[in-house]
Amino acid sequence: MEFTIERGQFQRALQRAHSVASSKGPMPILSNVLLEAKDGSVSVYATNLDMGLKGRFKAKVTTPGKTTVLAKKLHDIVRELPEGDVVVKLDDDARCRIILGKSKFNLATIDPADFPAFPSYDSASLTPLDGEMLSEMIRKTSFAISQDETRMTLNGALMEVSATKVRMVATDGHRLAFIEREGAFKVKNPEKTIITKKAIAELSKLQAEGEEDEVLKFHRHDNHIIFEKGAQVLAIRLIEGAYPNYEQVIPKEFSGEAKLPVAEFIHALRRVVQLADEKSHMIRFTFTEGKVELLSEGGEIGEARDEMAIEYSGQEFVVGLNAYYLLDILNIIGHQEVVLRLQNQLSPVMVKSPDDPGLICIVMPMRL
Amino acid sequence: MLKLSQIVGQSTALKSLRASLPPGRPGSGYLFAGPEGVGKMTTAMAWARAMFCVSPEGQDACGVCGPCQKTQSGNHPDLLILKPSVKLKKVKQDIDIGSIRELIERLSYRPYEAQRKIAIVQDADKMNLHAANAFLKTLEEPSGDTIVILTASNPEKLPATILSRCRTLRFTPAPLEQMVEYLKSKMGLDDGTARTLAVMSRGAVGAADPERLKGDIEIRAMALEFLRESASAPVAKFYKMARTMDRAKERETTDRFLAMVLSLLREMAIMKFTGKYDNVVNIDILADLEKAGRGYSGRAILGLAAAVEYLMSARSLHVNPFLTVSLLFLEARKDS
Repeated sequence: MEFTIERGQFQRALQRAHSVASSKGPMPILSNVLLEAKDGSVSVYATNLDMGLKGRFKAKVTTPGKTTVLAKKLHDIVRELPEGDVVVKLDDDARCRIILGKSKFNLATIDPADFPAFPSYDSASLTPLDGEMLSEMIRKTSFAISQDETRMTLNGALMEVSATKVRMVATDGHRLAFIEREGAFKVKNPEKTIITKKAIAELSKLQAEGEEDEVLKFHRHDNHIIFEKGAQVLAIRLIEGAYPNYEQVIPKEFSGEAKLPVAEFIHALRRVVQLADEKSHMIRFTFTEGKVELLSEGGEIGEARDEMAIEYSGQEFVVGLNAYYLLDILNIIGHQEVVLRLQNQLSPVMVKSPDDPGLICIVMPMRL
Repeated sequence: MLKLSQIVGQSTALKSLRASLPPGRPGSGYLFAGPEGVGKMTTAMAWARAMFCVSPEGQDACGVCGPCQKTQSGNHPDLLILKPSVKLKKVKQDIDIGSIRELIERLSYRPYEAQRKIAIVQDADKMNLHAANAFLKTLEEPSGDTIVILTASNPEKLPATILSRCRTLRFTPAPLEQMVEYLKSKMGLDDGTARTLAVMSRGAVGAADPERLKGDIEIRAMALEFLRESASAPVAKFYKMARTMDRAKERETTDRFLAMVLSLLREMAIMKFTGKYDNVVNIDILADLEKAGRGYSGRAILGLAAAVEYLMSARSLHVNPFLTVSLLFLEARKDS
């Protein structure tokens, strides 16, 4: 294998790859990056088995071939090289030589046959997905992903795709965020895929990078979901087990509805939560005709009481909610007003934006 | 790496394992229990290899396909192996809850390229209680087509809750003749050496190392000499022996010496109390052993054995080898 590649290009290629490569763990080869030169380009592939990232970059290929070298070392070397064309060459002694001017390096390699194969996929089966829209869906749900690492199925967001719709759902058992958008997808049966938190971060980076005219595409396999954008492909390994039946949790009927101004509500919550219980962050809300009263009892520290004028008509309604859960939702609501739909003291409270029927957030109440 | 067909002994376990290879259905939790070195881990690896092989030959791995190569080099993405780790400043090896949780997380993904995932927990009896408890749920109902194999040389140390969730396969020392055959064909040893090695490794293929055997024979001679002459030889002789053990690279020798003295004492006791030779391992030096045994009363043998055990535990706390051997000598001489 021998190829020549522009330093800046090579460094960008390696930067993402080495962040995916795993530095610890029982398989030493996962610390390596697979370089494969053929047909006038070089593909750079790294994986930690949970996800793999492969990019294809232009290069002058003298001899096609492939090898694997330590991802971090290669990246760190290339980063510090001066501008110019880097020659990368695999020699007969199984050392990989990196040469630019008077700088010469030789790195140990591991047999590429041992490198986990990139999940095979057929480009024709890829279906486009509006990348901006996906980013918005991720942003508006990922806050609700569980932090509990012992429950892997909740440790990610659910992406559900049917022929005409895409949904994303995240929950930690105390709150839930649901978003639905329309589109046209090459999907026969609805597909439910759990994408882990770490993979979501990588997916967001993939979407944010690349040229504007490059379209994000995806396809789901048995064990992986593939996202492709331009020359970069991200393979995310799926999680065993099913996502909880979230539709069951979303209430259908309500006894009352309140409309609150978002900015004012945020400030009131931030003030009142100061004296809320340190663990539960609970604020007691009392809705009455045209107003809501916020109350927090911090025991020995003190007590906070506040009141806001809102749109509400109906019977007096009292509920206890975690203030930070509400603040997380208000941050992504994207409107000056927010609608709270109430049922009874023990049933979930629905939080919605007045102009976005596809966005539903749920917060479980706390016992008063 | 060995194939299933190359495992020495273990016919019962192998029969059951072969039967559950495709098209058979494997269980989800296995416990490979048996003495150290008899081939529990080797069998687990060979079985995993046969499971992953894409062009199996009969009921075994082909050894040449991609997955076979990857299991061999330790790079199969669906084979997870957990071993006890030695922690800094901690003498005891164990498997802690952190590494078990990591394993559980890895197991919650779908297989990477194979039909199923296989997790092998080596020396699972070294799991601490927290780790074992954390593992129960996974062991009871692993996600997807997962197989978990625990290996243990002291299965009685595992909590009953773990045992009840596994199918136990017993691994036994390989029969003497099979061992001799194996050592002759595999290591090219002559019949005599193969026989001595088979005896000294007690049917544990993993312990049969011809390089080590030389040392073992020397150590056994030393142990025998010690037992034979402890009451009569001049102090200078044992002083010298104790000094030799004290050199840094000889520290392991001290432990092997103590273990050897203990095992010879065991056989001397068997002969003394039962008058039979059935369970004597070191049959090749039977006459010498018997002779040495005559110099001790039954009580003295047991007393000395207890002293050796005490000294062995002291060694695990890094008591200096010179002191250890000197004490052993004094112990043997205490009645003279």
